[in-house]
Amino acid sequence: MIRKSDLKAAVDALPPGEPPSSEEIEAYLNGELSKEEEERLQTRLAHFPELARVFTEPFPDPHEAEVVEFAAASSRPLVFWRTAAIAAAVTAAVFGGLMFQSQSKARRLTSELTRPRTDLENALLLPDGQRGNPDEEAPITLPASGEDLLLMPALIHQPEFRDYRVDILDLNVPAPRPVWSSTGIRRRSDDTFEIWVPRTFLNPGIYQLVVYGIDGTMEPLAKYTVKVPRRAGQSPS
Amino acid sequence: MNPGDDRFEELYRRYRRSILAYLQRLGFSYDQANDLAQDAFTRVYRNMGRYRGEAEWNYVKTAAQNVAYNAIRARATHKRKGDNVPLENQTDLAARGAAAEEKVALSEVGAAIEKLPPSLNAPLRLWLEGFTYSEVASMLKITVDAVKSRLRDARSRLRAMLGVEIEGLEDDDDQEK
Repeated sequence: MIRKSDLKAAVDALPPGEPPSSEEIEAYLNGELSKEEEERLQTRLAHFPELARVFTEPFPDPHEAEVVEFAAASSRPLVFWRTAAIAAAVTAAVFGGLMFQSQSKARRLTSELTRPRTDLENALLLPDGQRGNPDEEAPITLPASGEDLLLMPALIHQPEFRDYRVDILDLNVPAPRPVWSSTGIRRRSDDTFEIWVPRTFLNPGIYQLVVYGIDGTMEPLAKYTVKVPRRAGQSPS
Repeated sequence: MNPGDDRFEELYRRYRRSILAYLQRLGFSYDQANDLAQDAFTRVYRNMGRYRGEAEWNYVKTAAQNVAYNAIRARATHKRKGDNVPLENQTDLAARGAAAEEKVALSEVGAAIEKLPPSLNAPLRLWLEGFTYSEVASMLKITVDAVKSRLRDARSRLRAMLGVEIEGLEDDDDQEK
């Protein structure tokens, strides 16, 4: 039996081609395409889930938002002017606060990204099946501390390739899917790769790194199943 | 002042927050969302004469989808540069799973999926990417029942082409979050 994960792997292995152009999307959105053209465009779009999401993500209903904002005022007509003024002041304060918070957060994040970091945990990863102990099939548990993780998957007895690709698959869902993928990863002289992962990128759970060698064809070289533990002091969500 | 300015200001005041929230849900930062919302409303402003009444909200949404699409596409294209790996001869990844047991190479499965007509191919691929039935239905402008029906059809056709049983595609109700 072919499973959903096999179908997904088969689809992922297909060359993605080019996503629909801006002009094609404009025509699609304006309803200027024939049914067949629409279906073809949707099929091409399906290769690019991050682009397809533009059309599946719902818009928050603006009318609903207005109802919520004014519900308190309209329910007490006798003090309408007063309630409305208070509501307006509170709304202004809340939005002012939110805006200030957002701007402060953006500034803080920018600052954090550009300054040296110290709270980094290293994790040397040996391939599944090659860890040389009875628990070798168990996932490697990553450190529970540290703001960021430096993952260092190691290759054992693997030839050199022109290029390497690393995927990180989320195994916590019925159909495991890559949450990150990149080519052009440098193989270091000690046969390891270095991937810096902010802890916030991976929720607690099980993930699998897959390293491929690329030399005209793409060959899976090693897999590393890892467990991202809940961070020390982090409450279950 | 342009006669459409008042109407535009009203539109901007009414819908800006919805557009910002939509863009942020797509993963744009607050600042990026602000810039893109600005672009979207600029498009709306240029075409104010063409849209009236209820259609205005639809036009604002379309403009937002358009700018979001272009921004994500530009980012994705940039990311893919130098990333074109010929996969036709890719080694069978399924040294795991049932496909290997059945001696069906991933390339054969991929080729069979490619042969599906667009009406079955698109829902199948979107569903495999993890979109819910509702999301697939919304994107393809069809009903949830039609999505399930098309997944059933896709499954039958793949089974016929590959001669191997396919795990139920439309029975996975945990897809609906």
